[in-house]
Amino acid sequence: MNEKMKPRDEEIVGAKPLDEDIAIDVDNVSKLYRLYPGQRARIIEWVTFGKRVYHYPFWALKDVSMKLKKGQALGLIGPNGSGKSTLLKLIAGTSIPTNGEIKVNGTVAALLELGAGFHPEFSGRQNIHMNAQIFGLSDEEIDELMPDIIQFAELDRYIDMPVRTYSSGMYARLGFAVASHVDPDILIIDEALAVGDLYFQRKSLDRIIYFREIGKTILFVSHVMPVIQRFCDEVIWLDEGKIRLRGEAKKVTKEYEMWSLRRQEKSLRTRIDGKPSTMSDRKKAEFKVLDESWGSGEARITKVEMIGADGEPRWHFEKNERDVTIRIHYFAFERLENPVIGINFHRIDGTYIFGTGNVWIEDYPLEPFEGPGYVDYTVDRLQLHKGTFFLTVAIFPEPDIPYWQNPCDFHNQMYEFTIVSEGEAHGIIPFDGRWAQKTGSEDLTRAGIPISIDFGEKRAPHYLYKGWWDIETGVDLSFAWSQKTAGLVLLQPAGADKLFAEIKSNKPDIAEDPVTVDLLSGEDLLGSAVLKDNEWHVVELAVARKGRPSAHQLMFRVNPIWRPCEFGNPDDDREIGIGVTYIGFEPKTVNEQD
Amino acid sequence: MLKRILDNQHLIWAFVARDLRGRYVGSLMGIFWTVIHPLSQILVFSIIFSLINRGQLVGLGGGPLDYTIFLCAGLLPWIAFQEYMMRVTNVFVGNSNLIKKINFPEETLIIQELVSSLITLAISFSIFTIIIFVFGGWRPTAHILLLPGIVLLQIVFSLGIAFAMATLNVFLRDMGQILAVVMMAWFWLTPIVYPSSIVFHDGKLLMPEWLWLSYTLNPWYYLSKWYREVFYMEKVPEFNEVMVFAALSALIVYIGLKIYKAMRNDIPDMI
Repeated sequence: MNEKMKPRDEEIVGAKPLDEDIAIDVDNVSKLYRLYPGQRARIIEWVTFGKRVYHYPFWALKDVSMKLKKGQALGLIGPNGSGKSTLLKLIAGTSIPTNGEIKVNGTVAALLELGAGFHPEFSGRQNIHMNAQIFGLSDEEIDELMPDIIQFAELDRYIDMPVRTYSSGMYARLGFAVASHVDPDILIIDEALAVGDLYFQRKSLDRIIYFREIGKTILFVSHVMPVIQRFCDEVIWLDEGKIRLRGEAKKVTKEYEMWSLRRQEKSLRTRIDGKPSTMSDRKKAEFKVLDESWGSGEARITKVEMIGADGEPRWHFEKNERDVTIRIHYFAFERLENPVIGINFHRIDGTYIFGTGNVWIEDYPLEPFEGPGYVDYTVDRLQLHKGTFFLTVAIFPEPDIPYWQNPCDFHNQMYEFTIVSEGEAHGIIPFDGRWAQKTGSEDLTRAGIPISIDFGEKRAPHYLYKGWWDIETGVDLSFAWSQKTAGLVLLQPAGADKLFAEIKSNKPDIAEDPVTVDLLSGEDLLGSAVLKDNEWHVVELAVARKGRPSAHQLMFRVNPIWRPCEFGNPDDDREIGIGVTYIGFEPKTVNEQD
Repeated sequence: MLKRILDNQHLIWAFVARDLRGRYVGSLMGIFWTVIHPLSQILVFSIIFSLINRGQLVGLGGGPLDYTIFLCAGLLPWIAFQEYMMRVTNVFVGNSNLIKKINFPEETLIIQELVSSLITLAISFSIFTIIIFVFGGWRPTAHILLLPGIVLLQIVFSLGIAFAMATLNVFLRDMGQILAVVMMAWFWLTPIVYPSSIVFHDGKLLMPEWLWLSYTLNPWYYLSKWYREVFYMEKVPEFNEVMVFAALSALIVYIGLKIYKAMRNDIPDMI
């Protein structure tokens, strides 16, 4: 066998012996791509045996070394072209390093760059079979796994259709389902979760959590930092083919975010400041499209700044940052008697957030424009969630025209700024709001809480809670409670000052040792009934008169020396059953009198 | 590599099955297309050559199907070869999704295309023998037992070119276009639809000498000749020629594999 074949064959047969607990060992690995300007260049290099060199050597990875322990979840982050995907490809074995060595301990399932390796003409089922075969599973094992995979991918009737007919979401689902079910030791996921609906993303993340819990090794590329922070123990930040930082997930992602913010700002500055335009250019065409700016050119916006309360111009702000000034520098080539300035904010997805103007929307007539000058618009509070936003700024020559027509200079979404904040962003605008809570309720009439419950008529279980025997309503008793206390909710109407209850005990003769039944509202003792026999007694309890209807949580309580029991004749002297047939803030209706 | 191919033979069969199914199941006439395609060519050639003065087609008998038998014996293997070449050239590029994204044993694709083309050849050969048996009065002789040997020579020969073409096409995507031109010229420069006797007959050179000389260097001249010999000429192919051909095929396989192995590591990056 040829020397060059070695690495690939080894990965299929199994890795060289490695330290037991190391899953992946990347040792000084580099990957060179030769970029040719065209096919002809390649042929010339071939036929001259490399004497003439036309290609541009591009090192996608340069001397990268890293080890990954078994059971670790590692995240890879970095800007586009930093070598993340290349590194994953090398570890997955679909690409071969130019220099260095990669040792992999265990089986690898990889989801590389949005989607799996499917044959477009094969059905979903056939592709599952093929992928599992390549992974090294036997037919029996595949047959066993098949239903799980199909179920996880939720493809149902599509499973026997060619995958070329699948939507990108279905494709991603199937890819993830296969890779996560073949039971690999190492799972490699490259941005695969970016597709698919939220429900499936959620499901996939759950699956990854499960993978972590059962101790599999995970290698993960994502641009979504919260996801990285959540699932990775460690993060490697790649930049230009080299490891820039490796460490604890939160720390590295934070550094990376700050870095990319600075980078963005820098490129933005050069873009704005380096914008070439001369007056003759402006005058040549009535409407000149230059980048995203256009207009008739009587006055031009020469510079736009966003300035924080500290007076520093910058392009990133905190959420809800106060006193942010948008400073629009202009130069008027002709005198504008009544100029108008408009400002719009758009979110990165195109949502129009806010717009204003010194006329039309507000009433702040500007001094005439002549030559240079600037106009400030200060936002009291930048009420925006974290994210990327675009600023549109325009100068109009006069207010008496529709605001979108004939601008002198219109910079459409040319300025980008970022809002940074901790925590998640929900929705578009962070409202100012306060939470408050008050316990208890002032008006519960509409909740349907009764002012009395007649147990003899029908059960009203909604307003009974805790401690009642679940027994049928009897003829001469209605309810008994089973625990030391039994509760219910009643509504005290406005003005009511008496509570009536009709109760009895099941003890025929306890005159010398009467039972006291207390009725409480919350912690307050409303009153007590003393029961000396087993007859019905109507007790009347005075309650504080209330100006408005109020709900009471009422509680019956007996002395804790008694054990509650069912209402029938107790076997035990220490057991007692108490029955209640009526309770309410008005006397029981008359029909009992006869 | 042989081990990798053997390890993945189920994969090859799955691909072959899908390939054949894909080619024929969806279509109206199904498997008949396998036959109709060569049959139509045979029909066209038969008609055209029947219009040409038969006297020029010396060496052929006067039977009604004699030309057809002559034609089929050479043309059917050529069609299989041509189809294999055209398809295999694109096999790495066309399956880039598999090779890039999973650790796919890409050499199996070359074998898979070969198996597919052989199955097609077997079907068209079977139908052809039935037709000439029933209508052409053709009776098999013991020579037909040599047919698998000739097919094997063709397989080895094609395989070497296949590895080279599939690999080179990854780096130079023009290979398919170049191949189409080459195959066309090769076809007409090989006595497949016409007998070699129109070039050289009875010691007389009837065409430019270079054409005759090119035959000696043209592998398909020998292959088509041997197919005819075992099919109906009741001749055993000349041993020396077969040995030279076999050695040459082995060399081609060696070169093809050498090219493939030298470049295989770059294949996933280039497709």
